[in-house]
Amino acid sequence: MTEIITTQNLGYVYTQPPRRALENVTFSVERGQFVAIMGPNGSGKTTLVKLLLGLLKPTEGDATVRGACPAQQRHTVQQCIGYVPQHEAVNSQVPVTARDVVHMAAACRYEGALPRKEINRRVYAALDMVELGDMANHPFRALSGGQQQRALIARALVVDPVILIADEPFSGVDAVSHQTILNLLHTLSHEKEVTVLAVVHDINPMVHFLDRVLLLNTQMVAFGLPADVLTSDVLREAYGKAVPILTCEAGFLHPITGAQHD
Amino acid sequence: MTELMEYFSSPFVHRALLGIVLIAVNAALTGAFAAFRSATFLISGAAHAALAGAALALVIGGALVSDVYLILGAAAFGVALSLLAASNSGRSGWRGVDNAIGVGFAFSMALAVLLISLIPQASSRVWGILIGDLLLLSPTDLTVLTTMTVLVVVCFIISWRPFLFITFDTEGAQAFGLRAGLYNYLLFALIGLSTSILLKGVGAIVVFAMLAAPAATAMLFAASVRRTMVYAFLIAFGSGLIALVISAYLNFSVSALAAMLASGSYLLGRTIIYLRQRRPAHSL
Repeated sequence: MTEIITTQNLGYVYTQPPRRALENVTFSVERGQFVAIMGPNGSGKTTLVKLLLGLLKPTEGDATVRGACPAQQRHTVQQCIGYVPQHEAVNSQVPVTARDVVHMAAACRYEGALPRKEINRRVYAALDMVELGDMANHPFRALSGGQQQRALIARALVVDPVILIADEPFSGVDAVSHQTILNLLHTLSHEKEVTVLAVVHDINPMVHFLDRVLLLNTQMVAFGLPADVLTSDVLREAYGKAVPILTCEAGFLHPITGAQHD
Repeated sequence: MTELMEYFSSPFVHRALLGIVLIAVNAALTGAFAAFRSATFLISGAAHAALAGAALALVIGGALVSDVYLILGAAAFGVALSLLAASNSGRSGWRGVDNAIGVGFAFSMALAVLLISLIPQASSRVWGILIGDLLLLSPTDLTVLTTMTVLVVVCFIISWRPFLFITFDTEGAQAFGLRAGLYNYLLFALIGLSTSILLKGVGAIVVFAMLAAPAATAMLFAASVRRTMVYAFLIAFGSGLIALVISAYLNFSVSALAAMLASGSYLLGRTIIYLRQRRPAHSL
């Protein structure tokens, strides 16, 4: 298989206020893998995503995405990535429809290169993929949290990405949308060879589908197969406390990283 | 009726009508985007910054300097404050521009008062910008207003999709390869420009009502960006027109009355929504 994302001692220090967000992150992801990036709050998950997108320049080490350096060849790297931002990061006051949301990215990538009709066809095809085809003209702000998240995923898919990076795709998502999104991400990675990187707080619903897990706590705590990463010692190192782990009937490890009473 | 027809045949009223149309166009574009970005305070900030620009034009050019320079001076300061605000908005996406606007607002007002004290003989021209009067728009004012409004419209036509993308999701726009920072500066500059050029017509104190309030009201009811813009245009134009008609009979300031109607539309809109929400749902 081909390595599609590699990082070598990648690190980043914010200057205002001075804060080390990430250090010594070394991993590589192959084409078509489904990878979860997890860790406690402030562990550098979103910083890593921004470094891979070329939105931040690493202060240490380097990263390559399809052989290109995101910081220096941002345009080349962004051409192959579909990005799903944190749901809270978008301004839902803007009275756009679900179709408008997807069209933004399609127009950004294809305007001038493809006929308008073809762009529109791709927009509706992306909405159909997330099962929102019949809600294309609904105002984005009137959609449920899960439907909004699906519209944002459709926006990432409309550019036909080789890599999909989703920052908290399950945050504020109802059970139905949760399953739809999970099935979609799994299909994309395993059937269409799209490399999927998902930043998650709660890894449990997706453990069965994952190829790799990257565990961060400013430093890279572990990277590897879920069964190797989701162990009590590794999780204790990342979260600074014991994390209960359940083993399901299928034999997968499920860490309980959410809120717990003392 | 004859009195009203006579009133509407006056060149002052013709110019005021054209002024109202141009204000409504600006309300539908820059007003709507300021409201989408929750940056409507920028309109107040830019308006008051513009006063310092007009005062500076008078200090440099003398008390008899042309109105064109006065408006250009105002626009330069209005745009400068907007760029300052845009530089602060880059870090946090669409949020958090108030600090830069507030500081720029206060600095410019202090500068305006200081400059006005240097030119007491021409201070009334600066205060005219503070108050504004639609019926006193000169052909020169309208030429500047029309030219600048055309510039704003052209910029919006060219940059429509990037403006919408960065307004909805700045970081996402960057991730999809858009030069979000550049478009952010351009959008803020246009909001500052729109605000400054309207001051001769509506004044710095009430320009907020004519630019931001129509869009804010429109957002309460419109389900799409296009509808928001159409509603904002109609509210701004309707408020101006009604104020113009009323002022034919009563000796009211057209600008103040139009501003009251435009901001009143927001209060009315909120009331309608409140009453709708209180109405019990029909049982099945």
